Amino acid sequence: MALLGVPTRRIRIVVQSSLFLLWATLIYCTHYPMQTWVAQHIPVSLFLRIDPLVATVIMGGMRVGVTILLLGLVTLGVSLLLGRVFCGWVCPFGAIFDFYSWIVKKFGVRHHGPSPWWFRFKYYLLAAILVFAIFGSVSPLIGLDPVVFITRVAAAVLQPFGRAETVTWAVGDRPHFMGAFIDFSTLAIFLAVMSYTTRVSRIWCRAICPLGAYLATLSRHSVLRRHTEQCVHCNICSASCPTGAINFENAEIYTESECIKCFICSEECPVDANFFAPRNPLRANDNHGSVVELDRRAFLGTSAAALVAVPFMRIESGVPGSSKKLIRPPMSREESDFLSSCIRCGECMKACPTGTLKPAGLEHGLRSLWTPVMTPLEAPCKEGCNACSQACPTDAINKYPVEKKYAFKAGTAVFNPSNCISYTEGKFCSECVRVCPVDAISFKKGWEPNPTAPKHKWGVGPSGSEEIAPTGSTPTRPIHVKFDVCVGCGACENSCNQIVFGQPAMTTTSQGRAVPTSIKT
Amino acid sequence: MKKVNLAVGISLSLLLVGAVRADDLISLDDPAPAPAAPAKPAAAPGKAGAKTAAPSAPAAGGLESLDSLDGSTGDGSATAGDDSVDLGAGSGDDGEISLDAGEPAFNPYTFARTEAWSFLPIGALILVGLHLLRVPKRKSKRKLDQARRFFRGISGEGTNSSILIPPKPKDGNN
Repeated sequence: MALLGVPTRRIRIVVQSSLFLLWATLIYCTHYPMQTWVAQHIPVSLFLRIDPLVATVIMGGMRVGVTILLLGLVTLGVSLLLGRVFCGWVCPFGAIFDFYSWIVKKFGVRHHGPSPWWFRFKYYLLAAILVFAIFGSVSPLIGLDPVVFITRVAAAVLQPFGRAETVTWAVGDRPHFMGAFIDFSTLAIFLAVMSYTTRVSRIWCRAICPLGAYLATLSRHSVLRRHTEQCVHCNICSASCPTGAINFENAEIYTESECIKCFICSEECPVDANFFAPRNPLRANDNHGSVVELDRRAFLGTSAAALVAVPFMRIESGVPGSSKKLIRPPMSREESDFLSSCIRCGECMKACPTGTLKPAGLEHGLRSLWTPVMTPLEAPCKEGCNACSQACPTDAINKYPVEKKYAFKAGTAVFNPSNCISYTEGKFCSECVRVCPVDAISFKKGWEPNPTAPKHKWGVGPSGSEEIAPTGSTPTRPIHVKFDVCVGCGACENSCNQIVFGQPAMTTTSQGRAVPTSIKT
Repeated sequence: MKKVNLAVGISLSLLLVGAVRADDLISLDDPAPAPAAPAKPAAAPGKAGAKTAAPSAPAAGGLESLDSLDGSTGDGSATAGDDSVDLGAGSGDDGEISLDAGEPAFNPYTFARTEAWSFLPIGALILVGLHLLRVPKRKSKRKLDQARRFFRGISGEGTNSSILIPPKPKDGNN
C-alpha cells in the first residue's frame, strides 16, 4: 500500500515523528515570556486543543462553547470517517510507544500479541469521565487522557529546566509538598506503563486510554476499512499489529474500533492482501469485522459508581480557612467554574516563570487535586506576565492582555502586625511596601532612612501635607492593605523577612477573587 | 486507495491549520461588550436558554471590608486615622491608581451558559452505551482453497500462534 510510490507506513512515520517534534517543541517553548517564534505563531497547547475528550468534558461540563476547543470536534469528525487516525498519526503518547517498540524490537523482544482480557477497561473509564462531565465536574480521571497525561509528565519533568530563573522543588513541609509528590507519582505511572509496554505493545492504547475509547466508539462505523480478499492466513499481520486488533485465529477478522490505521499490517503482508479502502460503514459486523461488546454489568456499575462519586468530589478540606489559601492564578475563572474547566495538564505550571504555581494535593479536597495553586511563600506572581493564561488550553485561566493583569483581583493580602517587626520591635523594614507592584499597602507617615528603595517618593510629611520624601528616606510601617487595590500577587508575603515567629506578616488569601480593582489600566 | 491516503492527508492538514488559526477566532466566552457592574450579576441576556455568569461580590465588598481584612487595628496606634496615609488616593504623580470604582470595560468573567452543551457528554455516553448491544456474528461461508489451507497449517490455526513465534521447546529437550 503506497502513496506516490512511498509506502503509507513510512508516510505515517514521517507525519507522526514531525508532529511529535512539534509537540516537544511547543512544550519546550511553554515558558515566559512566550516570545519565541513558535510560541507566537502556534498555540503552545495545540495538541490539547484538538483533543476531543477535553472538548467534550469541558464544554459539556461547563455548558459553554469554547471556540478554541471546537477543533476537538473536528477530530471527532475525522475519526467518524477514517477511524482512530488520531491515535496512530497524531497522538504524542502513541509516538512514544511506537518509538519504544522500535527500540525494543532491536533487542529482539516480541511484544505484539493479543490484548489482555481487561482491554475493555478504557470504555468503563470513559463512561465514568463522561458521567462526571454530565454533572458539571472534571474529575482527576481526565488526567488519564493521553495528551493531558503526557503533557503533565513533560511539565513535571521538564518544569525546572524550562525556566529562566532558578527554581527549587517543593520539599519537606513547605506548602503543597503533597501536590509535588503526587506530581512525581504521575512520572511513576508513566514509567510503569512503559515497562508494561515492553510485554504488550501500546498497552495504554489497548486498555487504559479513555480518548482511545472515545474515538473507538466512533470508529466502529468508520468508512475506511481493512480489506483482506487475498488473505493466505499466515497471521503475520496479527502478530505485527501493535494494538492487537487483528484476530489471531482468523487474520481476516479484525476489530475496527481497535485499529489505529498504522498500516503496519499492509506493510508486513507477504502477499499484499492487506489494504485499506472505503466500505459500507453499516456492515460493521460482517465476517471481516468484529465489534467490542461491553459487559453490561460492568458498564452500569462503573456509571453508577461515578454517579455516586459526584457529590463526594465536591467535598472540600475540613481544615478551617483552607479555601482562603486556595489562591488561583490571576484571572482564573471563579472556583466552581475553574474546577469544571481545569484539566490538570500542568501547562500553566510549566509556563510560570517564578514557580509560584504548584499542583494542589489533597489539602484542598479531592476535587482540587493536581490543580494549580499559587504559593507566595515560594515565589510571587511576576509583574507583567500572563504566560499561564496563554498556556491554558481550556480558558480555565481567562485570556487577558498583560496591561489588564491587575484589572481583577486574584486575592487579597492580609496584614498581621503581630508578625511585623516594625510593630513588635519598632525596627525599620517596609519590604512589603517596597515590592508591592500596585501600591496597595498604606503605611504610617513620617520618614525612615532607606537609601535602596527610591520607588515610594511621596508621602505625608511632618506638616501633614503630601510632599516628596527627603533623599535617602522613605515612608515606612505598613498599616493596612487596600482591598480595592491589592491584586493578591503575593509579592508582599514573599518579601516579608519573617523575622517574628518565622511567620510572614503579610498573608495572601483568595478573599475578593474575581472582584474588579480600582486600578486604571 | 490514493483517494483514501489523500483524504487522510487533507484531514490532518485541515486539523492542524485550523488549530493554528484557532487564536484568531472569537471565543464564545469572550466578555460581553458592555457588562453591568461586575460586582453584581449581570442581567440575563435575551438569548433563550442561556444565562450569564458573573463574579459574585464578597460578603462585605469594596472598602467596607477593609477593617476585617487588615489586622492593623490590633495595635492601637495603627488605625487608619490621622497617622495613616493612602498613597493611592489622589497622589496624582503617575495617575496609576484611583479609588473611584469605575466599571471595567474588560471583564472576562462574563460569559453565556447554554444547557444544550450538556448533550455533548450525554451523546458520548450513549455512544459508549451502544457497545452494550449484542451483535449477531456471521460466519464466513467461503471455503478456503488449497493454498490457504497450506498457509493456515504452518501458521498454527486455532492455536493462537503464528510462524513468527517459534514453538516452545518441550520439557527435557533443551
